[in-house]
Amino acid sequence: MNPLDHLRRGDGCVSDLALDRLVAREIEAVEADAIRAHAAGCAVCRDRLLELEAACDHPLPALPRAARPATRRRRWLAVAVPAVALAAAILLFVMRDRGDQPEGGTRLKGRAHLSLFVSHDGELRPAASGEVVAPGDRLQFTYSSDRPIFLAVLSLDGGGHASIYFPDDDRRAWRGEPGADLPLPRSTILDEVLGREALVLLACDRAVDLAPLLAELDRAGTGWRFPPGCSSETIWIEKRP
Amino acid sequence: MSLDRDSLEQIYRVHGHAVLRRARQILGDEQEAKEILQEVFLGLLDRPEQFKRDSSITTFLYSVTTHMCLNRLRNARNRSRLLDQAGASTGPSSQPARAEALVVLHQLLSGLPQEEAAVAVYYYLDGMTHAEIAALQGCSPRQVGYLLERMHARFAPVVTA
Repeated sequence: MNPLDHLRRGDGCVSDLALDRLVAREIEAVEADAIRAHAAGCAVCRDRLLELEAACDHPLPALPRAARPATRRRRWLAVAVPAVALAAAILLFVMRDRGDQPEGGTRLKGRAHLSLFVSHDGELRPAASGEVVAPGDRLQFTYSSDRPIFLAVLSLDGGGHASIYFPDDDRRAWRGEPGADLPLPRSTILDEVLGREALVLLACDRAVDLAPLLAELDRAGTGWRFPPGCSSETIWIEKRP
Repeated sequence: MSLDRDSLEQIYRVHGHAVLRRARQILGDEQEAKEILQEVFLGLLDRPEQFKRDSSITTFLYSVTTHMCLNRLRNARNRSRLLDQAGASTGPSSQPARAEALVVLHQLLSGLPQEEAAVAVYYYLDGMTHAEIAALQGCSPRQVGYLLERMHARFAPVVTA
């Protein structure tokens, strides 16, 4: 016997879909009568119907007024992990290359300078827009700023759905202290879902609320209007096998 | 179709319980289920045109909820966490075979192609017939049977272990 068959009711039983439609009063009287007649003689369906009807008396969570929960995460970006180990490698990389390489990364109109690094099979490389990455790669941003700065990284997938990449435990932009080539405190290990993604970098002079920004990015895509006091740039990356 | 906040609230009151219950069943996690509940209804407020009125609102919400939940299961972080929680979420049960089957199903869902996973949800969790699934998926009942057979063949070593 297939163990999953333990989840099935009897062959003549009524599905949850039909019972939910009955409870919601969506179906015609004749069909409703037939379902109730079956339930009257079938303990399994009778109990299930009573269960679904009783559930309607339980209070539901309030429906929020925000466009979307700000804690939504883009699955494409997978796992956020502490950046400690990668930060040390990036520091070595930056110290080695500073001065004899053209400056990479993305400058956000004088407010901050963000750079993206990709670690692939233990090898670290700086990344730019158009970067091809692979499942299992680790992404890490660093930033430079001569004053306190509030940072966030949002993402926009190929279907135009926005989500928050960083910070992953706050609904407001993260405060970064002044410094050069400082790693953001989280890096991300990419999962196996392939595709193209925009990483939208945001640097602000205050701790902006990210929920309305997420809604605006969702609505307008990369042509979005970010708030006064902020700068934004976009890095496109593409994940391939 | 236009949908104002009051209309959405009314739909939410009537259908929210079913969405929450199904998300809880599929994900095995109360908090994740509540997030899905909000995403489903706020998504409907943002883009009411996604409900084309070619089916009942219950049927539409079944489809949306299923796909949102399956998308979450593809997230590697959720996958590992949900698998850890799957046993706990079923808890000590008076139906140990059913609890075990739920754990197996959760394991399968995270690794199945989306179409097969959706069919598995409708068949095993919602108790739908092939005809009901076919109507919901826009395919033939024969195709539903084929997808279930393929799923069983793909994971025969798992489900018979």
